[in-house]
Amino acid sequence: MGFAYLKLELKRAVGRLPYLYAGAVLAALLAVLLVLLGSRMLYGDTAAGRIRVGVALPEGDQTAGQAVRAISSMDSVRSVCDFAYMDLESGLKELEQGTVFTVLEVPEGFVQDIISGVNTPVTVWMPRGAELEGRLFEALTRAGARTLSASQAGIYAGGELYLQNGAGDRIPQLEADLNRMYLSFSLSRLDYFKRLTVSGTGNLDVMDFYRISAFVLLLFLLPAAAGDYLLPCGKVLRMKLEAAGLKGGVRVFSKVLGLSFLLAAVSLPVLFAAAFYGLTETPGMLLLCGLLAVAAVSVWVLFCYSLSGTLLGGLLFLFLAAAVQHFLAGGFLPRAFLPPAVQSLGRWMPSGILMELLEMGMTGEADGRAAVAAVFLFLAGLAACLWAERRRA
Amino acid sequence: MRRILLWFLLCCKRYLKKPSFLLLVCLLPAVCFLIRISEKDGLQQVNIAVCALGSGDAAEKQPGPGDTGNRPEPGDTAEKSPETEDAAEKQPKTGDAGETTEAEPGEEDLGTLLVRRLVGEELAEEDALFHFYICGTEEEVKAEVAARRAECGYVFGDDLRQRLREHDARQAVRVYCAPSTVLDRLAEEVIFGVLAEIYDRELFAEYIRESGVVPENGRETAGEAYDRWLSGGTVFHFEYCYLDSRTGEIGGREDRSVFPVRGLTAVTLFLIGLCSAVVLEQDEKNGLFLRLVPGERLGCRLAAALAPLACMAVSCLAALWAGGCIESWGRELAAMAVYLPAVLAYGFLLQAVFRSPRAVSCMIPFLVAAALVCCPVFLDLGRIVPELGFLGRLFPPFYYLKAF
Repeated sequence: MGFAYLKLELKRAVGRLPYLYAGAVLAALLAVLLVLLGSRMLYGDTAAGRIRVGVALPEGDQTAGQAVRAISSMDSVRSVCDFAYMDLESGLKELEQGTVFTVLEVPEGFVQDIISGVNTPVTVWMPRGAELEGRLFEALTRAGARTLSASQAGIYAGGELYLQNGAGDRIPQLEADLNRMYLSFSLSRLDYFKRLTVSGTGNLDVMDFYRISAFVLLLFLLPAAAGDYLLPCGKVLRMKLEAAGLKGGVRVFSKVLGLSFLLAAVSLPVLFAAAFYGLTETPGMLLLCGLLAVAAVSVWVLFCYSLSGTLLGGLLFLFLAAAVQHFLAGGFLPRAFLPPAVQSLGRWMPSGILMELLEMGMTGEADGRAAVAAVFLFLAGLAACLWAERRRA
Repeated sequence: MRRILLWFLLCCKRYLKKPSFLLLVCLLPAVCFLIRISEKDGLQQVNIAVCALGSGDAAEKQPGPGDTGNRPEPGDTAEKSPETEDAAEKQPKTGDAGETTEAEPGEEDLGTLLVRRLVGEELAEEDALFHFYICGTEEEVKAEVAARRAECGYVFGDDLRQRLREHDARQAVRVYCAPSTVLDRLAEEVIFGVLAEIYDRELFAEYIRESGVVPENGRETAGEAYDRWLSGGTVFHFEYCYLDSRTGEIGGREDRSVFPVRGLTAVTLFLIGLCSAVVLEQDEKNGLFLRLVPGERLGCRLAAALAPLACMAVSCLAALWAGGCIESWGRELAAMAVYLPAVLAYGFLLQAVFRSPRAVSCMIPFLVAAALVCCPVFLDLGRIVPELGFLGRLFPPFYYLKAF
């Protein structure tokens, strides 16, 4: 009887497969669009991906314009920003509209002030509400200003010392020599650093990390397309099933298997594609990890619907739980931006455990902790589903 | 009208009497409150591990199994370890030209000087993005990064000064990153800025010494003159102004929580709006509205659809208050009064286009994921990739979030 019920559940699940595939196709379209945009950001000649910076130059000051254009032509600046020249009023308007990331207001006599040592500051206009981006941009520009001011201090101090000691005629030579030394030192600064990757599970880059993050998030959200399948049995049906000897454990297990089948049917092609395109050198391990991830997601999704008992409640519970714990696990924003207490908690979130599991699958380096945590996650979810089912009885 | 209001209240009761829905209504404000109190006063800093191999003490130090050394414990980024504090105390601030007890450049390893300056810098810049902390060995740096206690780690060799002098400093500094590290480039710029201050000073002092212009027992050494100019406030710097697009007010940066309370509430209500349309269709098929007179049917249907939205709207307002996001209650209520019908209308529009609750259900995961990515929930990616901003305009949360 249990086997017959299992077959019926699987048959019900197969009936929902087209809806899940429809949802997955839409999600794939979104993913393709993001990949295309991401590729343009990395490899395109257009401004996509580089931040657009408005520059308000003082009217009639050609020297300032030349200086700013020289800065904008530097490789390190050009790879990050596109300068757009405009007046301050237009710049602030575009800042409000969001068409520029920031506006630099260059003061009158910019170049002359640098030469004379007055150094009227350049004002950086940022929009309120973009605090995180503002903090990052501030850190970047402060670092650049620090590098420049370190050179300036030498040139100004040297000029002053030479004047005090009657060597004013040698100041141009001093400035030329110091400029040459400082430029030689700072222009090749990026070459001084040698990047090495370390990881608990092997070598993955940022793109792979966020691919895994997106995959895990979609695993959690996709079952919403088959929400009516996930709802618990009505009271009458439950009584009849129990009278036929199909207890709560059998019902839960059958439903878990049905949902796992649905998610596996959608996710296996993705995993095969990842193996086909060489994203992993161990396809077998990736598939195993993927199946374990599918099972773990299935039990927790089922728990959300079992606990709420309604379609709307289940969907809401699923979304909130998925989004919040995925955020805490560092699936949206890098963990570095999260509070320390949250960072340590994030590793124990379902998304955190599943992302580590799939990282293991991608790299092929066995990580006992990740595997054990995933198995424990599945068992805990199964226990939770059984408890929810018993509670309804 | 009375009947419609009664219908609305009964529908609210229908949802609220389910313990699970009540739990959900309370969950969002509780989570927002807990995350808010978990963030310490002041700004969130990013941990960067640094190690100078040329420091004798640092090279010999080996952390024991239970010895956290200078590692920051989770939730403890603001506290300084004894060695860090000691290093910070020894590090003279720039500008203390007449009081410096710093070893002359050239006598102390450049990496050690740099590490001390990085660690000590925090004291001067309270809103610094990065928190640098010292690790004893290169292996410790790698372990910190692998365990994600540090965003990335930098190891400065004991030959850094020599290699810079010989113009052979390519890849002289080892940078350890994790796969999810994103701030390494920015950290390099910050570190280089500090290195420039130290090394430019050395180059300058050496140049002046070799020029013979300044006598050695003069009033002021070259290094002291350099420090005075650097800290005097007349060198190049930026000023930062933050413009409020709604009010036109100009001010400094307001550092808010990174947890996207408003974005999450917007997408939650968007989701409820989509589901309400689906649930309403099912209620109609179940004959819930059959007994109503035709004139009241539309009003009661709208009331039934609005009920879950209204319940969650209360929860979302509580979450915004718990997350410290509310500046004006009037504005919040007005925005909510416009947003709720908008998401409901969006759900009805999808229902009308696809004519099937199942089809709308299929789209829900895609719509929610797209709203999370394309709307400025976590970051305003539209400022970097305009196409994403355009896509975001297709979803109601975009307009709600842009209003604040």
